[in-house]
Amino acid sequence: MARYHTLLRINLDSQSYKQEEIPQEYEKKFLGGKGIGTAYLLKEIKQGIDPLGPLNKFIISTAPLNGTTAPASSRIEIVTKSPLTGIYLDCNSGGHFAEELKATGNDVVIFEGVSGKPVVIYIHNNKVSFIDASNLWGMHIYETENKVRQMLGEPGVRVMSIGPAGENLVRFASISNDYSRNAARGGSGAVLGSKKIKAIAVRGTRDIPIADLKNFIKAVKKANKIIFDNPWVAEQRQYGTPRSVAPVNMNGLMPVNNFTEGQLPSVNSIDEKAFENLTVQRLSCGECPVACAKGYGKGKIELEGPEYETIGLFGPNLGILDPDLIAEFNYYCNEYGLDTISAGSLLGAVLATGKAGKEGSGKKRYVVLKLLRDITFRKGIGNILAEGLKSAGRELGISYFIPQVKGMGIPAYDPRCSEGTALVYMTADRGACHLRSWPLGRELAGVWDADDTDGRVKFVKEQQDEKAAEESIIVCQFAYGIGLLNDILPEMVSISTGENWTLKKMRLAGERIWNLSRIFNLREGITRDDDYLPEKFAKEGIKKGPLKGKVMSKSKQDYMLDKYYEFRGWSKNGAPLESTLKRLEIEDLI
Amino acid sequence: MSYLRIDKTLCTGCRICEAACSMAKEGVVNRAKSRIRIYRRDVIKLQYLVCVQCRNPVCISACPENAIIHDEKGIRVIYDKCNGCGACTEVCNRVFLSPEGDKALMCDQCGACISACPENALSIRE
Ligand code: SF4
Repeated sequence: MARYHTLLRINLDSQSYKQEEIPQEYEKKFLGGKGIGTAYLLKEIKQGIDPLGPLNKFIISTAPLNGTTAPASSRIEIVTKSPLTGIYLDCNSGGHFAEELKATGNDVVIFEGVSGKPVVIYIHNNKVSFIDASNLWGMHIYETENKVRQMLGEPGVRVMSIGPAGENLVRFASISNDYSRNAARGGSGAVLGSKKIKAIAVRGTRDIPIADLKNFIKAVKKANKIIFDNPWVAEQRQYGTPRSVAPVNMNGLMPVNNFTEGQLPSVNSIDEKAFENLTVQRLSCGECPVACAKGYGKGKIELEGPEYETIGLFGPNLGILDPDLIAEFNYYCNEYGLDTISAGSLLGAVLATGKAGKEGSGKKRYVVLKLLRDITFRKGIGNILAEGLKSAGRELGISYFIPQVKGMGIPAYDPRCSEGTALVYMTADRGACHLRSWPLGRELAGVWDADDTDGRVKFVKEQQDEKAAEESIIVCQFAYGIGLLNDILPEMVSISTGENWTLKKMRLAGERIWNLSRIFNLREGITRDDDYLPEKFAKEGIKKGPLKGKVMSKSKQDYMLDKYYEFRGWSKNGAPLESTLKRLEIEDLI
Repeated sequence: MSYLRIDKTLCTGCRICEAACSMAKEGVVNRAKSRIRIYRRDVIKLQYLVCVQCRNPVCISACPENAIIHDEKGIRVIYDKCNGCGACTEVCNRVFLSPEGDKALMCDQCGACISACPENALSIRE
């Protein structure tokens, strides 16, 4: 229960589909969402295949709480091989897609092969239609979603689509659903583009199976109380993620001018109050009582956001402090289908190194908009940038200045700020990602002694496991906190599924997932050498603010990696030991 | 006549009301069985649909089975008579056809959604 145990396999070559049963072992060992998606990826993707070729697969994975009345339970997981990094990728997105897909009666959908021509896939309960999308190819995302909705004539339909960036195989192209909710990182939009899928529409009208509805309702009440009793949530509800702007700047870890200075004299023009004043409509993802999304609307520039990462990377990182301009860049990224984090971190390096050419000296607004357009349509230097951060760094001779780990652009917190943050970026399964663990708050609060590196490393490892479980359930961290903070998640999952979940079992599932994704990455050639920050962060100190002079030395990174591997039960080279796989009971799956 | 009012300045489109409605009226979680629908209409626009007990109930005359009546309890569907033909849903977008196609779903102001709404956007008005 809370599961249909059903996988829908859609073959684009033959325009056919079939339903399969999901092995019980997957549900027991990996929970759902990220976990089950990762298990399928490892099993079905052969080593070395081209992420933009016919052998890559695109996996959409729901989880036990999707579609139920559990608060903040409408996030959807996508798992595939990344065209940006060449390794494991999972990304997720809010909105209402997850609950709608779940109600079709399919827990997981796998897309394989390549369509001969542009196509919209419409999943209506257990029926799949392949609709010619030649007339939609080339459209921006908002128009695409409107056209697909019109075409299907069903107001309850939810749409996930790509824009021209995905079509043109830009390696950091995003996917959007509900217009401006994005599963953005790692180029999943290009994977859909390579398969000629313009959009995936879903409409589900099946009952969501809940094993014990009466007790589930009680557990949901409890969950709501926990959420509303948390003062952190109240602030998130009022201000959303822009609330991070001021403290990040105050603590000196703002990415300013391509991660050189850590602080600006003032960020008042782009802080939470500034964006609150620009909010025209509060919005919410499905079943979410937090409703942290801020609808921005000025003329045609409409979006949910901008969120903190976009503000940081298109704001201070590019030397911009105009909130409307940041919203405009965000809007174009949304419409073209570009990841704002990778785009922002890449453009920061391009502007700072003067590689935007003669035009680079023009007005910033014009320069940035032109670069975004040129990337999307692969024109001039845009064609080089569209190949991703590492490749662009090599081509333009600016590798040293590109903020990335494993090819993934670094989010809007300078990794020199803290050991924990550095380690999070270094070890994240998909390359530089800030969402796998969040030690920074504790580090700033002084939870660990200054010399207690081991404490930080252990925390990162443990929270990574918990976060993987959270993304396998799937609920939003803005309601529940990062990881598994109390028994309410195991309780809700147990009652809704009729299975027996505890915190301990969930943590174990999370640890299994981290080992599967690592094995996938090792198979693709990742080594210990790939687990470091770019040289710049080890050599050059932050130039301004309270962290002035701070670096993340190579020896410190070395020490943390040694410890991290040890806590994980991995070798000195970062490979899971036989004994670890045995302990986790996943040796047969590899 | 009392009706369910949605305060558009407060609603965020979370659809918690939809699931609450389906649980109260049908005993299951199924937003497609809800009598209130909050649709996304554009990037930041919502559409709020529920029967508002209007002055000109075209659903009544549209129904070939006389299954929609207007009496002291208001405008409502008599489920024994409704055969799910959908004629009412053709003339008004505030009545919905059940996914099984067996009946029309119309709000009867039971109020289950009101306490579920985290934004206090719902109320019964006269
Ligand atoms: S529960 Fe309240 S806020 Fe949420 S969609 Fe319904 S009316 Fe709007």
